[in-house]
Amino acid sequence: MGKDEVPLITRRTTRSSSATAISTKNNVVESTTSTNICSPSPIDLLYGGEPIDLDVLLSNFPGRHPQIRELLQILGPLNAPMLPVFVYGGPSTGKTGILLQLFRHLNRPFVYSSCRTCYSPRILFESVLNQLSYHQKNSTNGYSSVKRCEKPSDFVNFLREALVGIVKSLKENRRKSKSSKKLERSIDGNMVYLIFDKLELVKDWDKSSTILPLLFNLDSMLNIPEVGLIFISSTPPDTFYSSMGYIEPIPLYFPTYNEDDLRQILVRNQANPKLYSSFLDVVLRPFCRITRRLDELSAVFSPLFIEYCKPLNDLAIVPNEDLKRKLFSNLQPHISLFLNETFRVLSQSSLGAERTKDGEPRGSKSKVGTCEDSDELDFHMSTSAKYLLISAFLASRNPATLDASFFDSRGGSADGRKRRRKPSEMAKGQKEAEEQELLSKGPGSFPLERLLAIFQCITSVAEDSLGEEVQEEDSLEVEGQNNPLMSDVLLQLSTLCNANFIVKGGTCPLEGSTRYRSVVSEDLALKVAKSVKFPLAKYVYRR
Amino acid sequence: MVLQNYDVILFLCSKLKFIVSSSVTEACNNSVLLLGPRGTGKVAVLELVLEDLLLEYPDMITLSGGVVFQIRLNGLLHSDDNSALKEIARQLCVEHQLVFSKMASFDDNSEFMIAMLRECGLAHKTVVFVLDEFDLFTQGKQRLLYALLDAMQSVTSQAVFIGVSCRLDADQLLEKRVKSRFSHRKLLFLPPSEEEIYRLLDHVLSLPVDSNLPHDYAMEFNAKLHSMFSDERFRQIIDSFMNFSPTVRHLVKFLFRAVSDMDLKLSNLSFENFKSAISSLQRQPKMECLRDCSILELYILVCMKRLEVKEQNSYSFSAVMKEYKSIHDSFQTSDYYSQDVCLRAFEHILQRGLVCFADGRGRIQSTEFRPVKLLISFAELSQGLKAHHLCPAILQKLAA
Repeated sequence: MGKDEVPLITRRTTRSSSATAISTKNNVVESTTSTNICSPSPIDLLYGGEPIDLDVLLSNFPGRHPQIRELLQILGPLNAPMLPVFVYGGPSTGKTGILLQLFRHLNRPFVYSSCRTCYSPRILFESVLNQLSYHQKNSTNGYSSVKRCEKPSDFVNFLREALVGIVKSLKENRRKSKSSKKLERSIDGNMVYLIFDKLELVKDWDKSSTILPLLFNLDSMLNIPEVGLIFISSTPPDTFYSSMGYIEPIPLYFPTYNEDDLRQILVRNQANPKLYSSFLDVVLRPFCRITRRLDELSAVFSPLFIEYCKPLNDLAIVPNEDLKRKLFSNLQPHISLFLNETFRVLSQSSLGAERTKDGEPRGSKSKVGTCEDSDELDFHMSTSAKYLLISAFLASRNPATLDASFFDSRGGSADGRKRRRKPSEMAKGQKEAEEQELLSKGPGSFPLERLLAIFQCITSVAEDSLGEEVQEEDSLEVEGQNNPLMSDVLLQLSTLCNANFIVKGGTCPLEGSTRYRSVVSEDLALKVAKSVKFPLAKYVYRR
Repeated sequence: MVLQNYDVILFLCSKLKFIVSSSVTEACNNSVLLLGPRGTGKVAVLELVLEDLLLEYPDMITLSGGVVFQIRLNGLLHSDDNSALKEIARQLCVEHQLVFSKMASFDDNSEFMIAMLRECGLAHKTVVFVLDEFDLFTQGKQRLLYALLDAMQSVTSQAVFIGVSCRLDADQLLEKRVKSRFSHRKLLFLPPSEEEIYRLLDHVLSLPVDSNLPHDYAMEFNAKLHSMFSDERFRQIIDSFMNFSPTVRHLVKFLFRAVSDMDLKLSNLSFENFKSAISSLQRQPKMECLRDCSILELYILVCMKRLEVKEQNSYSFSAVMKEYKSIHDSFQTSDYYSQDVCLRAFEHILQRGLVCFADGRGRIQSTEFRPVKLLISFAELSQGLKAHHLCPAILQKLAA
């Protein structure tokens, strides 16, 4: 579940720390080579820490017995050659975790590289080669790799050399260990395994059409029987089909956990398992209807569990039926609230707000986001940026032809609306349908000039209203003619673009200017408008 | 060797051998293409032939290398001319114990190659150029192919040019000038027939009787194996395997899976091993995805299906949300969640590959407004809903 444990061993840290401790005046590099406590060996490719038993492995991963058994069968006994394996399943189903722990149990050397940290072919190749030559990037070698490797042809040549070298040294170590008794840690077998994780990200690379067939055909290209290949991906193998074709690896499927397994996993590591399991009795089923992913469920259950335990004074208590019913009725209103916020990441300020308002009945709040913590903006924006955002929202939302009626040259509000005739029923229905269609098409695009025009209108309105209030922002100096909010508008615009509030479209060769599009939701625009006390509803085109 | 029982393969083997050995004995150049689907034994046959030739024409007293040596290129790695020539030069250097310089330029490398070809020709050594994934070399200007084939024609060389490809029309991809220098010899490899598959099974799975395994055990194992071959259920499994993909490599994969499933306590291959092997290799990934979906995700899929049935050409996520709301309004379901939650569930099914954007890559719009489409058929959807253990009945009714 995201905790990528690099297969390093404590030995490495002692080597570098001893090197820096004994560094001479001249060259740190020299001292590293001279204080070679242990020469690099295939032991560096093992999982750090003590190997574990099969029972420990099985108990660490409840619900995964069939998959672990199948993996063990395919990996086979010691020195059994294997065909490439493709492990796939939804996210956070335990694929990477189980594989790494399995290699810890089997005590066999492996090379692990994730296509998320190695985000380009060159980095991937160099990472694999670095691990195979026991090379670690540190400041002495300037964080460089052992070899520079960009092309697939170089990669296959170097890989073959390195693998042949490792297999030879594994066989020699075996002979040596038979003769000499003392060895800190023995390695099992003569085989080396290459693990490629997060393979689905390779599909988005530029060179994916050459890299994917390369990886899948690596087995037949290398033709070394002592090498095993394992691929991990969160999308099934049929998403990798290409016109090139290759012999498919053996698929191994990790299904998403069912409810019982989820319960077993969530109850582990809890201080009070009985209390937590009575909590799960209440919440697990409704939340499983939304998502069955373990990471999302655990993220939403932790604040909910805090709510559940609020009326309890003693957290170590074992609840009886009565207490369970009381706690359930207490939690009930929160459940529906949390169901609609399953994926919301609570910000720090809102968490704090929840804790201070102890007695507030949260169930009284409606669903439309009028909770007290969500009325205010979570982040800070300058006033001119806020007005720019509002103008962008209006420009995207309203059709350009209605600008004249909404914005007077003086910036008055939509006075024109009073002059319009009252529309008939049919026209109303039509307009509603049109408006729905407009909404469903998404925000429209607008050129820069229109944005600036609307901005000018709005801020001249704001100017008047600001002049009536007490000046709080000392950075604003109200001058007679110039509108101080107009300064640096273009800078603000590029900031908003970088923050993804406004998106820049392509240039049309006929028109010659770039078009922008505002991608903020209506909620956010309302919040921003409320913070500058701007009557947004009057300007938005509806009905 | 696995392939010796395989009649067609024998024939192809002998033909290929004839081609290569005639080049050795008569000091001429030859070229041939090996074509056939993946996993039918092209490279394996090639390796066999070269091994045999090395035995037949053993090392002469020459210092550097034998009479026949091969240079292997792979289309996946060396389709670029520069890297191809570099690789050729590198392999030539390795063969003749010369020092290879990485800094040599394209021209240097090609001069080197031509010079080496001439020398080898004069010394009566045959160079075998093996080009895997041959069709990938035909992309672009085909400079490498032209250089190789031209060198073979003009220089006094003794070379065999073997292209291996899984595209059956690989020779149509050649340019005119390359094609004219190429002898249009093709050897076609086909997947084995049913009785050849049974012979292969027997050959691969039977234990050798005169090895270091106990004799009785080996005989018993083989007897049990043969009795299983005549079992009707076993034949059904092999039939379904033949329908799927009967090439030799797939067979090896299937047998590997069956053997790895073997229960070591029983110490015999049983019918269940084969059954679990075939079911683990023939998967239905979309069904598995559907069974793993949560109920909200199923709702979204059903809404999309209804929109497609109404023949809306392109619809976006906001249209799906409207459909979802209308379902809730008309049926008062208990599963009505807010827009954010639904959007996140939608992103989950996007990630899994059950739906995708209909406008390709590179649009800057947000997820809610881009056109989307289903990647599963309606039949698969209803099948998946039935197989889902928690699917509410209303969904099945709506999807029908």
